[in-house]
Amino acid sequence: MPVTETHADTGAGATISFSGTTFAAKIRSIQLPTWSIEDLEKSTLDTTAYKEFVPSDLVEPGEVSVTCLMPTSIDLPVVAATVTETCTITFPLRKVASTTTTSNETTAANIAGTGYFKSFAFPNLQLGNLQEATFVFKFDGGTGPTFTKSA
Amino acid sequence: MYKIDLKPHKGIQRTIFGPVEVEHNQWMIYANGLHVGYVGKDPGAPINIFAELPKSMLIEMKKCVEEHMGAPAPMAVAPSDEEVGRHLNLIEGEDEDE
Repeated sequence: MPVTETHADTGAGATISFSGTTFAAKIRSIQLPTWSIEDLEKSTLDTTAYKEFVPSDLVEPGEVSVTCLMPTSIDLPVVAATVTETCTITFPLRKVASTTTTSNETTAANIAGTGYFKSFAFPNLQLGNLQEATFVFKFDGGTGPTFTKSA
Repeated sequence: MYKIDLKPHKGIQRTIFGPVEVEHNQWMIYANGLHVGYVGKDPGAPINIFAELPKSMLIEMKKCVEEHMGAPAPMAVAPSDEEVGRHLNLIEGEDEDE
């Protein structure tokens, strides 16, 4: 019998990690990538209704945008053309239920792939505002990105 | 005593030829059967864990990973995890001269 997720979930407990960078800032939010494919219009002179399209060949792997509390006591990610590594975003573990049983996941769902730090935006320093930094990790399409479901 | 396992991190990559299984350049770390983190395969790559774990588990995990990798593996420690960092002798300048 198929297992059904019965618990809606928030982003609490999600994490992001890197295979080569020891960067463990406190994360406020993670904007996950948008995978998209380009539209190729194929309308011809005898097309009479809507424009006609076919999908292009390759998928845009997207990028991850992360907002974190500005870490001043640890090394920042290196934004450089020469550094590539694996970035992994891990979803929170969930409780999973079928009609007969409920169990906890033992392996969290994740998105992982190679890429590079595209940008690191330092925070605005002003009264009454948290120091929040934003960095972007671009998937380069080398390995992945892959989405692996939980188990 | 904990059971620490390193498993290959595999995923399915969609290609124009169909789905292809790929292996990421990192290990998935399991403790007592529960997925708790990752470590890159390159020597010296950091250990990333998801949540607060018992210190004894962290110590055993670090030892196990370093034995497997054959190289020191630093822990990715957030600023607020100083207590853990000190305990594991990971924070620079702490305990080294004692």
